[in-house]
Amino acid sequence: MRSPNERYARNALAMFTGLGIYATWGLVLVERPRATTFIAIAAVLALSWGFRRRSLRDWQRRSETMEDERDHAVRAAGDHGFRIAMSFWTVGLAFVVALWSSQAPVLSGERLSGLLLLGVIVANLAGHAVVVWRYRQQRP
Amino acid sequence: MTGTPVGNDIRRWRFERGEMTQQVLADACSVTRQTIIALEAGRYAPSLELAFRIARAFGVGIEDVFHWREA
Repeated sequence: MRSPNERYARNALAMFTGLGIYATWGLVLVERPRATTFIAIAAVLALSWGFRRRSLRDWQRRSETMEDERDHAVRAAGDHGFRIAMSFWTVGLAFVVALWSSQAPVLSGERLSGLLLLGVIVANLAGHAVVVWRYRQQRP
Repeated sequence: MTGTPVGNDIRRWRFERGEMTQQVLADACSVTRQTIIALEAGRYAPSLELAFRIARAFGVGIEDVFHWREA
């Protein structure tokens, strides 16, 4: 049986994959991204902090086993993955914008803000992927 | 990394203590059953605190349960 923490990470992977596809299509690939799309995605990202807290309350209500030190260690690895991915995305994007923003329309204006938001989604994906991978690694 | 250099005899001690279940041991140590499974499989190295908790649950010393596996 998988721990609630691992189940949450798997669900989050699916959610952020969907959100990533939607953000790529709605904020980066289209010529003129809509402000409402940006706001909707930004709102989901902002609320995603509360998703895990709500899940924790659900587990408590169902009296499922709560987290222990192993879960904390796995989550710390996930946070580390998030930070690394976020740093790489941001620094890489800054580098690309500095060098090629005048030639590539995707790197300027509203689409650039979409790319920044996409970075947060990618970093979340990386963090949850690390969590899922670490749980899988520890399974006999 | 699939294993840890910290080996253990948790499974043997569980059976020597009247076939104690993984869940009973997990409850005694305030961890999840999944953590006991990962420990028995040698996939997770416990903190010093958890190692002491497990040893105390069996009523033995920490080195009776955990040992360093030479490479």
